[in-house]
Amino acid sequence: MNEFEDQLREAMHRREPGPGFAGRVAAMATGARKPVRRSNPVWRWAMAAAAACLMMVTGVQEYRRHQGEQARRQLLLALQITSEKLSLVDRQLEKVEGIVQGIMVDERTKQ
Amino acid sequence: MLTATADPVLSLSQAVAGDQTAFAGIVREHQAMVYSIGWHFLRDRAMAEEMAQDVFLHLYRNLGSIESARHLTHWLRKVATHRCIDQARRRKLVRWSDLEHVREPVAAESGRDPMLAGLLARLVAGLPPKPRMMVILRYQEDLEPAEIADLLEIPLGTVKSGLHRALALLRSKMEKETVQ
Repeated sequence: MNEFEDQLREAMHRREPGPGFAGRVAAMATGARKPVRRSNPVWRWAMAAAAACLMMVTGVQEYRRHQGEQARRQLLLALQITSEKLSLVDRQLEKVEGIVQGIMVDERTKQ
Repeated sequence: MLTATADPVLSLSQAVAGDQTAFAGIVREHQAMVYSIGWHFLRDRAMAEEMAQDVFLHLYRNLGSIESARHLTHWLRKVATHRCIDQARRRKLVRWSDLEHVREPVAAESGRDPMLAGLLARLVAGLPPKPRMMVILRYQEDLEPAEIADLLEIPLGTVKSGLHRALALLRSKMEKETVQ
């Protein structure tokens, strides 16, 4: 049993906290520094949940912004195409109008 | 840079008078003991450090009740021990090893292996709260079962049987782990 107990003593040796621990605690005790709370699992989970929510909201906003930007680009393209088509139609109409006027002039001169 | 005063009684009286340097010296002198109780019990550096921090802040508020250097050590051990056990009660999701079905050890075994220290520390952390604290106080702090009974406020017989069962469980688990 002694061998095993020696191993236990070895495993259970004392360890030191992080550097500056005593100074920090003394400063907290005298009110020069606020006590640190980092280890509470509820706090850890709350922080993780808050970070996840923030990432999700940012992601959704970014997605919506991207979707909006894409829709705006598509609308501009559609308007541009429509404008080009209208210009083409306009040019065609001008041509037809020129032809019709030419025919009318010819007929008047024949009369 | 804060420096410790060599005389513990003088440090105490200076700390009671509000000397931050003297109090830092007291903390430095006992931090390994308090932090290690938390570390071996909780196996979480941040939680152990926060527990130690709270124990020393509690000490600062109760410095006037400390009568001697020996009383201080006993007081710190007691507060650290009870804080750890209270914390374990709050974390009920952790599954402890069942000591009820473990027989007390009957035979010794040889073959010391320093590489097993880490494994043993992890196995100790898997014990139920009170036996775990008994093992820590016995093998980290080198306390006698009567002193452990006094700290944990339980009968001496409970400490003796608890320690025997805990050791038996640790031995059997370590054997299983080393065979695998």
